[in-house]
Amino acid sequence: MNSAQFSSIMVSAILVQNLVIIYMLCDKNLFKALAAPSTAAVFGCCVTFWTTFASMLAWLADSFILKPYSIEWLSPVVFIIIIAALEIAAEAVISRIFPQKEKLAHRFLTGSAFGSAVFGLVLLNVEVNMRGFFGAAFYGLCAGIGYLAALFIIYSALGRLKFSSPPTVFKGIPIALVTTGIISLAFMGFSNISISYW
Amino acid sequence: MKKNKQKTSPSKKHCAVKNAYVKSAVKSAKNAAKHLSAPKIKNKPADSSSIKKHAKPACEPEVPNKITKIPAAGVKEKDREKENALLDFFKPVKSFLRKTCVIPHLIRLWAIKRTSAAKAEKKIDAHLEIKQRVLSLNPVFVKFIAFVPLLGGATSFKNGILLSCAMIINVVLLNLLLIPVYKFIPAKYRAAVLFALSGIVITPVYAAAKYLVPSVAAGCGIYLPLIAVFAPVLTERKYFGKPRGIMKTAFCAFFNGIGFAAATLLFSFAREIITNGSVYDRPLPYLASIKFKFAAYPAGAFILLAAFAALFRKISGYKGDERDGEK
Repeated sequence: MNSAQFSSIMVSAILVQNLVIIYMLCDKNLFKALAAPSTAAVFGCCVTFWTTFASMLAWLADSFILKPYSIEWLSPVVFIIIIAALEIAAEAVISRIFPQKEKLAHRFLTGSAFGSAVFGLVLLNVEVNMRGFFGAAFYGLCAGIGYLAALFIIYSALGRLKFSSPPTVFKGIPIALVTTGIISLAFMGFSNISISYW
Repeated sequence: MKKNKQKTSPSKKHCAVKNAYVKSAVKSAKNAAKHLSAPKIKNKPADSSSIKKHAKPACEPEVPNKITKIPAAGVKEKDREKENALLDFFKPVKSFLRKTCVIPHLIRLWAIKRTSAAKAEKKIDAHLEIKQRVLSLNPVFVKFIAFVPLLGGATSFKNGILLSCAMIINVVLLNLLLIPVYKFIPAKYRAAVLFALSGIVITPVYAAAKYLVPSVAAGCGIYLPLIAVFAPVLTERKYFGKPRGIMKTAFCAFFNGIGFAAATLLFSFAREIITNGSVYDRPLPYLASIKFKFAAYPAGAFILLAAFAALFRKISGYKGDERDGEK
């Protein structure tokens, strides 16, 4: 893979196929993490970590186990087991290194790993399996960076809403959804961007 | 006045009341035992001179303490004597029971237990109400738990039906699978195991959907297997290990799935009408010419979901949350 292909993957993962804004893989944990910039940053970094390593392991499982033996129908459970095993391993490592922060780490790691973004990305990555191992890993990394960027944009937009007074029934998550919808309108302008490589 | 009282659970209150009554019963029993053993001395005279003043003359006959009953006409003397003997036999027992007050305490404790158990059962039955789970506790529009499959997958009514069926099957089977296993899972690994079990359940459902309705499953895309992410959140673990737990768990899970299904069907119905002017791929009269493709895009999906959430909040009488900065 050359640099043009990597740039194409980066642009598509961050802008054209953003996990939050275009694929709508944003669950309640994302809006909870937007309570403070520190929690949003930590949550985004956790998601980036999972998307990178889960993409790598899922590509390996798909290429060497599922496709050769024609058992692609088992892909959901295999990918879920990969994500769960990664989470348990990461939690064990963190509890050894930072034992006093075990509970906090457990909350962040479970909330980010077992969300829709990681599993959704793994399924997307496998659907378009023309990138190879490094391509899949880089796509996972860039998708995580795109997730962080989307968190930052939505946080900035919601910060302006603190000084406004929407109707009571729209306060909280509904107004955040409307804001995200308006941001996605802007991101639709990136839909036909691509970097050609040959 | 104390406004913010910490609410104790009914079982703790009941235990506190029971303990208080038992302690008081034991105390009064001990006091009664002391009184029964010691001789009664009323109006102790202070000086020996006062004893002489209050001393009864020897010639006067002793007046008996008990009041004798006037014999009723026709009652034989033997029966009367028997009655008196029985009364005399039970008199100390009666006085002991009156002093210790055990029986009223026991009756009171039994009544408290019965009412609190009845209240607890009523609470349990109330949670199975379908109306609550569809309207005021809707998992999508009120709790915002499982809205991702709606946003991405529910682009038409057919997709909505498939997503609803998949979610109901997944939630019910996951709950039933969890009942024998839940106790043995350490708390640290519960989330991971729940996720894995949900994956085990969704895999055959996804495969069956791809086989039976391939076009609709392809239309749902990655959002059909994504149901595995949200099914663990819709599980109900309240009735694990309780009597009739399996039936109550299954019904609870089914009604949670019904809440999701109602939201999905409503959302997909509205979205298809706005986007294509049709329902179930059949064009509607007058509406088929009015198409607003915006609803098919992510922006339209977000805004439509927010609108439905606001509508459900209005119906359920939402008055704000502390986290939103309002009470």
